[in-house]
Amino acid sequence: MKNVLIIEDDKLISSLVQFKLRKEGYNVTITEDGIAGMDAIDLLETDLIITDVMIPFKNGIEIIHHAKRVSPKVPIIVLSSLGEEEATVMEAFNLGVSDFVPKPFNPNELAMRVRRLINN
Amino acid sequence: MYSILFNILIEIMGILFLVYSFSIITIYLVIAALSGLEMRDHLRKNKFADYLDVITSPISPGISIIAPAYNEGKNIVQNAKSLLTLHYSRYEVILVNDGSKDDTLERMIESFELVRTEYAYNYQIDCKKVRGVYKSTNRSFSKLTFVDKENGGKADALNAGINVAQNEILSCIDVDCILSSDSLTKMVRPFMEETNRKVIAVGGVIGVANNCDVKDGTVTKYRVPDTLLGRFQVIEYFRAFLMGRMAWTRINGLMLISGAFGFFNRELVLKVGGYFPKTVGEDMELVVRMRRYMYEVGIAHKVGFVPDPLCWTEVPETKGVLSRQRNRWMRGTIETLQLHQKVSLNPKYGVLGMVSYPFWSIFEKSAPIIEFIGIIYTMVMIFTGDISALYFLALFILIYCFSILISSFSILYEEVAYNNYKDKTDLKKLIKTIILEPFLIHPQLVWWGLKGHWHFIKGKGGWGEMIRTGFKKATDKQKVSAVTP
Amino acid sequence: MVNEAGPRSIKKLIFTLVFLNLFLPGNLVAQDSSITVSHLQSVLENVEEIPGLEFIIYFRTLNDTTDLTLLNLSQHADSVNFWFSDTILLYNEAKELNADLSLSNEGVGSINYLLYKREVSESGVAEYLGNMIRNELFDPTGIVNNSFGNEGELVLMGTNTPFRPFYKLKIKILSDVKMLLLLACLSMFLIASLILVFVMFIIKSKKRRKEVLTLRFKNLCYGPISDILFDDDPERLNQLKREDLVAMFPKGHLNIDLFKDVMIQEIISLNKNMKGNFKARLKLIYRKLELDKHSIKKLSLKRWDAITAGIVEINEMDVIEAVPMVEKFTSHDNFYIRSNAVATMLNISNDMSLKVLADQRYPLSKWQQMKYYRIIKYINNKGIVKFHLLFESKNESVRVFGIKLVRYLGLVDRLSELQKMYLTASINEKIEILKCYDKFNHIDGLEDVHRDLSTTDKTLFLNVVKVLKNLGSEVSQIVLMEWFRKTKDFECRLKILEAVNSLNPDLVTLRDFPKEDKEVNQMIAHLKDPILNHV
Repeated sequence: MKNVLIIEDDKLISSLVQFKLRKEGYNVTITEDGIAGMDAIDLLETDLIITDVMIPFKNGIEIIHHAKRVSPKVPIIVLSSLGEEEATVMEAFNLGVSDFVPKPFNPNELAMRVRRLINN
Repeated sequence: MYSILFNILIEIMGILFLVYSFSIITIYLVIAALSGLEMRDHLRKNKFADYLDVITSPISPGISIIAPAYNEGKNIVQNAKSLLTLHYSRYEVILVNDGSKDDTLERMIESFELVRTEYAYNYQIDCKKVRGVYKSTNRSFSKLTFVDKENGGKADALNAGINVAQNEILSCIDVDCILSSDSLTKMVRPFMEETNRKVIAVGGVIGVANNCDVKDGTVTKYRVPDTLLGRFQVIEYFRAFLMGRMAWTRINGLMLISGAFGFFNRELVLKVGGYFPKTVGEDMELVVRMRRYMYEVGIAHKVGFVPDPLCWTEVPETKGVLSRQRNRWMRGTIETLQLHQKVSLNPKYGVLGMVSYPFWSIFEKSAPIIEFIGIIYTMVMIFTGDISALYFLALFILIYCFSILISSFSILYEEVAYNNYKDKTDLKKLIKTIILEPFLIHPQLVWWGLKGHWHFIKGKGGWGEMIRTGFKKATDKQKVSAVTP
Repeated sequence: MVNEAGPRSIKKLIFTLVFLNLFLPGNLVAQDSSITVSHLQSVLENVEEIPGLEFIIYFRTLNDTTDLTLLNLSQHADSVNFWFSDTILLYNEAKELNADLSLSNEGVGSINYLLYKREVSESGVAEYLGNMIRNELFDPTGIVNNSFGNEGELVLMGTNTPFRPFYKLKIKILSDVKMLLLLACLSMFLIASLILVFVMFIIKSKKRRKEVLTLRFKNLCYGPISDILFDDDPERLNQLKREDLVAMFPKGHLNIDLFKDVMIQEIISLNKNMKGNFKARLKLIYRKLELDKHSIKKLSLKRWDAITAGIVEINEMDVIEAVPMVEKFTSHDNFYIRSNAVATMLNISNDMSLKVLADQRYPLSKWQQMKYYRIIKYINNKGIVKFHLLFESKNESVRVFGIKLVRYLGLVDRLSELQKMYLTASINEKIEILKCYDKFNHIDGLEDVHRDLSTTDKTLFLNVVKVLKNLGSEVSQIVLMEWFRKTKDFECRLKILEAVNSLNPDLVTLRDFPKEDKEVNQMIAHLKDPILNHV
């Protein structure tokens, strides 16, 4: 079973995504803040990371940095809120994130992207 | 044998002390109640605020952050970088090098690719000579302006920054402050909510950063400082910000915004002539002068306050530094009150003149003197075996119990509203501090306050004389500056 | 304070004071305190020892041989006829001794008074006693009763006058201002601490309970909501009845107000973050669970934050049938109620004329403008919004907002309308109109703009200059240069020069300004600096 790590402070969103992805047959871990997220990246065997940009304690960009350093091959999907600055988005892409999903988003669509990335 | 006159004097003094203590207790109770109400309202309001919108909306006002720096070479680059990454779209950062003797200028030039521009500097507010205005050649630092000037003190440096500022809201901060990334969005809110009353300034809470974990400009883990002096200041800051200023905001009588973190309406600051560099209490003086101006031109106004924890600073944990700071605060208070003595008990100045000013004169400015005399009085009574000594001993015990009560309350406030100090041992340490404070720290504070008074009296001549006579009108400050080049 | 007796005997006096206070009956204050020389003797006969007062007997014998040493008298050193006794504490004793002496010897005896070892006259003693009585240190009658009243009388008196020892103390306390103040402080403190602790305790426990419950309820509603949202058969939700839906949640929970609140909040938060048919489904869940009724009910509550919460929910969930109720709040004096009510009206009432906004009486704050702008931007994409009511509003801030909208939403076809408004517009409106001209290169209004260079308002002046910098004609260059000479203000001059420089760079360089004008040179250098111009 493939492992997906979600870093997102809105519990409802993360648990919804978790619900959807479990239904699709993935093993999903949720962390709610940047520090726990980084720890999870270090400790867990992960096949895909979904992260928010605005999360407590850490900047999403920093998480992406960290993830790319620890395990450069793991694809990353960035979930971002409305009103995010363009610069942040550009920076995220420059760091090599695989996909970018702006909120509001469609969970079914997100699940599809996850499947495509993991299967590749 | 006492003479009758002396007797009567002693009697009257005794009664005055009791009346004073009674009013202190009453006033602090009212303050506790008012701040409670204000805090409740604030937390309720926060439920309906969508701060994300503020960041990008074209309607949000532009902000100019002004941070004076003196010999901050070690940290200036790091501090400037974190100021440049705040969450807000329309803002600029103006760092003012106040004639530092270290390598502040060189470090800044190197790190931010700065070059000296041909900026046509406009001395709208008088300040010391500006040696150069620097901008970065790198587009990603376009928000940054660096002003290099001759040394003239903090107020002068702020004035130099104000002259360069372009945006409608000024944010005057200490360069070593840690600002949370959402601080700007939260602090502009009172300005944006202005309807009938003009919002002239907004103050924020300063948190104690000593011993806390800081990451990316936000405090990630709160811990109380290691020293008693540090811990005492944590409580003192709670008391001052969460209780005192909240209560004053409630009745629109706020007179002081911390120099380390204050937001102002730029147009008004220019109208009253900026900071007054001849006083050590420039932060308080500016707010009082702005308010006074608004009363004099007859425009309804308001000074806002945001109690959310958004700004942190390292507080001094050594006696020497702390005593100098308190001495300066006391002198600042005295000078401000002297400068604006015309406001006192003048109904034309509304809450400022009838409530805030008298309160500050009696309970902030004169407190150390009254307390000191009170202690001497009681000692004399005990020495002569007078029965009144008993009253005063009882009174002192009562007041100290009361101060413990109020301090504990401020901690509870913090806990209910924000609950940042989650650790149980931290709470225990704070409570211990509360109990020890009246014996170990308070007497020192009284002493430092007295020294402040003494230094004020000693500092006669020159500007001292000016301060003694005071401003006749809020706009008089401009005339004063015109005298010195 | 009682100081007449001198500091040394203060302790003694305090003791007496307390002692007497406890044991004297209450009618003492009203008593006649004057003692005259004539009845001094009778008073002295009836009392015990009086503090400070002593007696001494002087006896002059008629012959020199009389020896009185047996009676403990001493002979005076200067005169063999003059004998005197030891000091005697009780008057009766003194009297007795005097009588004895006169009986057994020939001579003249007299009782003399010593006050603190010093001899005084009878009137001096009378005064002293009078003082003591006035200060309630001494009571002749009380002692009379005690020493001369027989037992039966005493019992009778005891039953007649109730013994009230604290009565005096109370009077004592109440007549002492300092004690009174101290008591006031103490009671204030006690009341305060009780109230504060009590209130805080309630708030804390309430808050904690609410937090714990909210968290529990949140966890409880994730499951069912996810189940419903990701149901494989999208049609099933439509067919479900309310009872079926309710059954998916823990039993009875949907009757709890807090649970409903948590549900609504979670649904709203999801609604904000989700796209596509999920939005419709969330609304359907909201309706089917009759949470809309819960939201509407909030409108009739008293607390402003509850009403506001209701309005926000109605807004987010498009509860159109509640529009008439929300409309009542659009001119409420509470800022939050009012602004959310207006936002809701704009968002869900489908009124494209923006009448609610135009009718606002309160000045629009920037916060409100920010909210309304987002909504108007959204409805402007859906249909044709009529803006003219905003321009005609009686409220200046609404008109200003209307003009801002022209700029933000790119309503180029409104520019001619703005131009018509310009002449009669207020300064704030003019500033906004100028910004619109500037943004959309609206050259038609230039003539009116030139005229406003003579304004006394600096902001307006600078905005005029800015428009001219962008759109100015050759006429503008000449007018601007004229103003450059007339104006003293540094900032205005710099901006004028900047405008001229932008219209015709040659003009600024070639222009022969007086060489010694340092300020102008500075400005020109500023304008030619490449870094300042690219920022």
